[in-house]
Amino acid sequence: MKTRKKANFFPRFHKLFAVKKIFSLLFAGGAAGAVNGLFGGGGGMIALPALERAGYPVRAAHATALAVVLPASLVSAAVYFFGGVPLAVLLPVSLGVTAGGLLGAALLPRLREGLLSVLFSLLMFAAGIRMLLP
Amino acid sequence: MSFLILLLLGVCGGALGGMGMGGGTLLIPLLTLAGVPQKLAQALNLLSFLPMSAAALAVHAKNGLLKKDALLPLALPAALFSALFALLAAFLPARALRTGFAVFLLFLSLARIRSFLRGGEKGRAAQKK
Repeated sequence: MKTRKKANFFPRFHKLFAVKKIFSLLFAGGAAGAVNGLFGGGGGMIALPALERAGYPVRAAHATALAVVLPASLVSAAVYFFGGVPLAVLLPVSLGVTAGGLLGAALLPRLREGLLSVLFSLLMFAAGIRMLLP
Repeated sequence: MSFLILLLLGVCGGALGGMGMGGGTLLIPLLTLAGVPQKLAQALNLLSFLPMSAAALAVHAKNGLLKKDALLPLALPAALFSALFALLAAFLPARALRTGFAVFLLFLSLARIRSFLRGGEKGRAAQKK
């Protein structure tokens, strides 16, 4: 009864910034950050579905997920960096990632997303199984 | 570990990242299976994706794709928890992180396949928005 009254009192507020939505975003943000810090990546894979569930269009959800993960990655990268990262390894990997990133972005419009997504999932599955083995 | 192999692994991970597929989730297993220690692979993944994602983000911001009302409630707890859990990772054994990450990968891949299988229609409708 009480909650219903509140919802009627701020109909516009309720519609735009539903409290439930804010809490689910806060929770998803915390989970994305935790995964990103613990495993050194993958936070975007949690932020993205949360944004899609909140009703944002796909492209905006992708862009915003990136904006969520970047500051989180920056913070945890600093923590990891103090653990020591040899430059001889960092250099080739980041050069490769940057080159690959440009390549991937250029290829993206020419690929069939559905098929690609399934292939990628199968690859992830295989990698997961392999990493469970000693 | 030779320069060339590391470069190639980076290209593979980066290409998937550039397609918005979450390349980080693949760069880490690629690196560890090639013999890079787990924690170093995690650090490399975080560090190497910073410049690229910053560049991509600048483009997205210009195109007005950043949703500010959702950004703050997501980004603040994300930054806080990523710092805490990065510290936690430093104290955990690499073996535990590897197993945990493997489980995370399996979970993600199954969730993806599932949403692909049931959400054909829904997914296409969302794309049109």
